[in-house]
Amino acid sequence: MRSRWLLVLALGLVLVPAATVEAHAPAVLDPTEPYVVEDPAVSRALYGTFVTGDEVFDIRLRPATRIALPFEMLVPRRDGLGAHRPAYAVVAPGLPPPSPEQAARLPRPLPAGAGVFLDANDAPDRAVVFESFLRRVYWTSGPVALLVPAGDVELWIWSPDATTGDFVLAFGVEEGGIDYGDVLGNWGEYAY
Amino acid sequence: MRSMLLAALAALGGCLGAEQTEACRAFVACTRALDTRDGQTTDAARFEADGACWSGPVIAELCDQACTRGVEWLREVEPDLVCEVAP
Repeated sequence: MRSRWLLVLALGLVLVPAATVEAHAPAVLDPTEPYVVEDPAVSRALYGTFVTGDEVFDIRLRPATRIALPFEMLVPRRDGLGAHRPAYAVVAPGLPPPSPEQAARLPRPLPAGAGVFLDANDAPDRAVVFESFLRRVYWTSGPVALLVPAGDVELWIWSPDATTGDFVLAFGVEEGGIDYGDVLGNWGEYAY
Repeated sequence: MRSMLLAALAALGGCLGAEQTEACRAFVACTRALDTRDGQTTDAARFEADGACWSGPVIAELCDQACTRGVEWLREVEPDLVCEVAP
């Protein structure tokens, strides 16, 4: 099986104690405030937890030019999360307008002039990926390469069936010099 | 002895990198067709033949799957798009 962004992240976290390393960038999302991505070209593993199931996680980025990136929603494969299928949407001017069915699925109205890519994460069978270093197993929505327009872009993550639990939104490929801050001190936010 | 050496070299090559896949060649071709139509240049460097997607087999597999779905998405939302893959 594949290991993923998380393998690289794990290697960076465990093997390199310095605050700045070359690896994918982790962060913990807070549903009460948008998370701003400074450099969309640097890959991200964004961790979050639905506590009530009605949260909407909001991520903002502002590419200078249209950029092609892979996106993937991961859920830890463990008891109690079998029905947990967070959805995500990329929202920006320049993306296609939603169908009526897609619009009805979104957690909030689209900004004026914005279109959307929506991954409902509702395929009957979810693939399983294996993060081999820490031996974590995740269900995946399946990676998809998207063209993210230049300008103001929002990523929304929500739980369509109000299920609760952890998720990881991963996107991008390239590594960067990352300030890990207090990741090791907050290891419980990242490991399960 | 020679076969062992060849096997070791093949394994080393597998660890070091991978080649751009057909799905990503198609995704890049579709992207460039859109760029021509729209008069802009998309940063698709990671999916290009010398891009970061091909730095190893793990990320290559992820990119290949992403490109496969990406081409499906582009053909759905841009049904008139013609994606010519260079030979």
